[in-house]
Amino acid sequence: MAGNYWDKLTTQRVTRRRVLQTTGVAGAAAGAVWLVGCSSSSSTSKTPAAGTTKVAPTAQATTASGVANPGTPKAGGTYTVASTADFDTFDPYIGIAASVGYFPRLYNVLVNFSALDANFRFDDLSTGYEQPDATTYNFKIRPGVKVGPNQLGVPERALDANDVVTSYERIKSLPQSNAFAFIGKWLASQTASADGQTYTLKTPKPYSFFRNRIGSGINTIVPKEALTDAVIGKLKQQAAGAGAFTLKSYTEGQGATLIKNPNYYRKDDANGGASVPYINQFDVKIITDQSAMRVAFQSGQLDSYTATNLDESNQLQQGQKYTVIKDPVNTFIAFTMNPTKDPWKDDRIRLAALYAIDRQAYIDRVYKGEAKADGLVHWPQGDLAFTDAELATLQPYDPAKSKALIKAATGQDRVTVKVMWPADSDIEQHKLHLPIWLEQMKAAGFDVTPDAQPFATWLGNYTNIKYDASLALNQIYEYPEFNLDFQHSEGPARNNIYAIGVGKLYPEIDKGIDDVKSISDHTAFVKAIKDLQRLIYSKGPTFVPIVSPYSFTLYQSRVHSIPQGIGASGLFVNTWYLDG
Amino acid sequence: MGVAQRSEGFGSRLGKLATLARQNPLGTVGLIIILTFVFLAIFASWIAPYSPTALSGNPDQGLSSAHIFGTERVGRDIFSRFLYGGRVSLSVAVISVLLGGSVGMIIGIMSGYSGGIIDSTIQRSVDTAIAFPPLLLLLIITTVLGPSYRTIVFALTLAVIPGVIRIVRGAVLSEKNNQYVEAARASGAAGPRIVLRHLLPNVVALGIIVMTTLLGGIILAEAALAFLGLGIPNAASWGRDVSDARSSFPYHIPSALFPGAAITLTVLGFNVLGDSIRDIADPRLRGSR
Amino acid sequence: MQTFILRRLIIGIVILFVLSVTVFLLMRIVPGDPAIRRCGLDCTKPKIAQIHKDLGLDKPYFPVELRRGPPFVSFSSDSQYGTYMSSILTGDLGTSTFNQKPVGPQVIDRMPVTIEIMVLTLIFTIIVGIPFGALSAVFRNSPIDYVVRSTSVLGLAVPSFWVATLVLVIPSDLWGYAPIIGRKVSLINDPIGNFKQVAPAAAVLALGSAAGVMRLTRSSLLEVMRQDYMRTARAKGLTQSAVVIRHGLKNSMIPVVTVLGLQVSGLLGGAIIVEQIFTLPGLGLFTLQALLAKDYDVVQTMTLYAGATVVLLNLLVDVSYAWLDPRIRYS
Repeated sequence: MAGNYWDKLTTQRVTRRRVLQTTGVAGAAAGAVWLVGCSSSSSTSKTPAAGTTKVAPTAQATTASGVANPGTPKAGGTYTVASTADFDTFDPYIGIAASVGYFPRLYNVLVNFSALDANFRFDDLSTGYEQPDATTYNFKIRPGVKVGPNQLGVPERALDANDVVTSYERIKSLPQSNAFAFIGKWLASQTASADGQTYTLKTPKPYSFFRNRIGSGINTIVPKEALTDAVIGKLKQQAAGAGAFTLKSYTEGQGATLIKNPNYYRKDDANGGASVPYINQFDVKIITDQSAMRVAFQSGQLDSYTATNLDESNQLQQGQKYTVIKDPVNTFIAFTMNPTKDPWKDDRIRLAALYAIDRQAYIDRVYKGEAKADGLVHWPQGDLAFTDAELATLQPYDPAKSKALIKAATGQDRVTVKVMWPADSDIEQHKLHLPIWLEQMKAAGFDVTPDAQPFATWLGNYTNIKYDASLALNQIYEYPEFNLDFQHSEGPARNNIYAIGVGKLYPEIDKGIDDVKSISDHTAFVKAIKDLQRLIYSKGPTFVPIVSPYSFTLYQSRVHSIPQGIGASGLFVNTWYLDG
Repeated sequence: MGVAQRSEGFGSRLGKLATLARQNPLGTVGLIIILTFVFLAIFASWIAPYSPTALSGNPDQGLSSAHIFGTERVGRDIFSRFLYGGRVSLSVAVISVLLGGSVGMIIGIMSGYSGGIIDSTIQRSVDTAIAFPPLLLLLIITTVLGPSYRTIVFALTLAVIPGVIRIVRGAVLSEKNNQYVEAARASGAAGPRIVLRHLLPNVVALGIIVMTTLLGGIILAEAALAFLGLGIPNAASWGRDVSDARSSFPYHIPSALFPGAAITLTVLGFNVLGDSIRDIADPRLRGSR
Repeated sequence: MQTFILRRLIIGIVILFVLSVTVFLLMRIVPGDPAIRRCGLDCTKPKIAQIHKDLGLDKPYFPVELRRGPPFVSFSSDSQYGTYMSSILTGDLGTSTFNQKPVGPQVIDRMPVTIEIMVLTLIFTIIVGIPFGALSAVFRNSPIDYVVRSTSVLGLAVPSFWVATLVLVIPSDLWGYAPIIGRKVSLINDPIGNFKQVAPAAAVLALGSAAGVMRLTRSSLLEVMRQDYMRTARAKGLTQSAVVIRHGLKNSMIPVVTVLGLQVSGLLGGAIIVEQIFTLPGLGLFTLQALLAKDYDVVQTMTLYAGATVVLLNLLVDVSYAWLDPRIRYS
């Protein structure tokens, strides 16, 4: 799951923003789905996504949910988008890199909820579900979700509950699959009814994050014929599914072409029941260089482009009629400390590092104001998040206090620490955050000994927790579960890799993290998450996210009805169209 | 023949230098450029208005009185980085070329003078090394050992050595057969003496010329490494700054312009200086200027 | 002549062998395990061991290895180097660890792009470098000479990735012009589109190499022009241009051809940069990505190919000496 994120970085040198481009329409945030393999839905959040404080200067940019550049849909056309990363395989359980942004388009999920918009719900293979008790989910299967034409010999039939069972069985049997952390741990049992129209899933305990996970692009459902031993190897280059698109062709290193699935079940009720998707063809080109991508967009070869920052977006827009969509992107740089090593063992030193961070500097300098401070569960989502004011008290910017803490802990005015990071990563955020972070640490009493390593070496050390402290570009987490898991003593996947959380020093934190996963009542859940965060703040977190930005994606004027404000869920929405 | 011996007084030496300068305007310009950059680099801490890592201004500002070259992407002063950048770029280049050049010269002289098996072996190894595309070699070494000042110097030194060996050996071979060496041998001079008195001065002169020409290429190589993400982490270096500035191009020109100009000018300076030194040192070539 | 070529070929093979061992070792000295990336979040010791096995990383390095105790030397029929060598020789280049696809077809697919860049660069270099270098020599110290010399000095000094960015971005911002990006345009089907795509990259590389060739042509032609036989030819009454073209140029080409041969090695490195910037799906970009992903197989293979290309080209260069200057004899 999370680990495969690193794969992407090593396979192609990508900036965070570029990665998100793989998804094309539905904005940058949509790319989130593949990275953590966790998708949408903060099911528990009652209020819609936090409003924006700044609106981009052009009239068209808006962050409210809904669509941008609306109009009357027309069928036809080819939509072209670029990806910096190549596709590796179309097997949705082990795919990483660009492929993951396309699984929701090729395959189906039972139901998808948006992490950013509590009102968004996409019933896909199921028409709905009931919960007779806190650990049982009965899904009603939608009839007529038919597989598209394909070269794998999979019949063009309707999917049923047995396909769900086969798909999830496969995930459960494959420890290296992206969704293993969900299906492997939280699927206690599953059954398909005799007629195949009901699918039942039981979890071992109530699972608070169920709605976030169930609709993820990494546990999509694949027709069972495609998962047989004979066929499964061919998924490297081909696909067969009941999603909105089918894979027509794929040329390694250059890109893929998807075409509309003529058997796709969905209709656009707002448009007299017309069938979707409207476009005929979807071209994905592999372009590794940011400048080249921009040039391709400006010359009309691409239909969308995610700008590196607000300035570039504004510049590109001058005199043009592009639609600009501003969406929150929950990527962030984090500072990870190893609580089993000196001096990070001492709460006071960890807190000193926490208070050294002036998040506003990153917001201003790196993102020109278009970003927000991250708390421990970074930057979501309705009532789960602390307000900026609360965050300012829990994680204040106070270098004087840092120095005082250092003095109290060591008796010296300054402390020398060794920090590692990936040196050759092309990730713009790293390049831009690093000098700012180093200056802030210096001002707070830390003398940082830099240990810049080539990415693959750094990844090895990070995975095996061979570090005292590290700066890391972590994934996009659209909801709190993973962030909190980083504070657990066994690390984010409970297998002692990547990080040792502060729970190692304080078992009550470990317990809190485990308990919060099983609280069914929403109010109690919110309180528990906030109390847990306060507890971690008081002891000194080992994993500190810094800020998360907005992204600005530009679309050619011919692209209409672009979904926005729903994040990764946009990948399932196909009511957008081309005109011109 | 090599460089003639001079033993006049200081005044006439200055006069000679002035004549040289007049006769080689390009070379003089090159020398001035180099000396200026070296001076700026050495005295960077006195001249620079800010520390190169300090976030002294707002990001992407244009030229102003507070920041005469503007500020770069996160707000650091471009002029200060321009000055300090010279330290890294120039020192990396000079150290690599000096080290590589010296090692190369020693091996080249040994190879050329000894002849036989030693010579053949060394030449085959040099051929192997030259068969390796230099940038690829640099990339592999820096990826393997991790980018750092020492690694980059090491990699660049390695890249310099084979070429120097080849050229120096060629020179030794042609000198070896020269009349005066034969004469010296005939008059009973022993081997090492021949080397010291006759071969060395000429070969060293050649070596120096080669090294000056290499300097430009090495600075470009360091910049290329930085562009590909394997430059010296964390230090202000011109190559790194140009590479970092690509994302603000073309919206903010100063951040790429100034470090890029620094690289171009320095390389230019070394190249024309090298040309002039070669012309002066080898009168045979002078006619072909 | 035949013995000369044969000898050079054998030496070339030895060189390639040494190169292969060097790269092989270099890739393995490094700390950092390519298996880690594939392991993912739920990484356990048995899983890493399995991945090692899949990638063939559990085999000994060389077929022959020294041991500390008896029997002091051990042989293995299955070693990493053995696999590597047999794959090169049989053409089955294994599977790339970073995108898990077979390497062979990828290389074949990408080779034409890089070859085209190289060829076009050399063509540009020769078309621009030699005539201007010659002009500069013939009209020594004239304005033409100064212009050529200044341009060449500048061309050698400007960083190629910088020029490449300018060439890519400026036409787009000023005129909205861009070549087709991200898609390989076939030379056969769309020669103009193909040229538009590759020409900017070749032009950028040619800037540096043409500059060098200009200078070299100039100095070597000047040198030749002073030679006795040139004076004799002039004395015999041939016009200046006839002399230059017939005798001078041909003889002065020897160092130029040498340098061109050497430049291929540098151009292979330059290709990495321009392929990255102009998004040309060639071998340079492929090698760079493999290097950063610690994909041993691909980097080793590509290095050998590069080395082989350089060795072969240098051999061609040496052979061409005979044509250029009959005075050169082969021992």
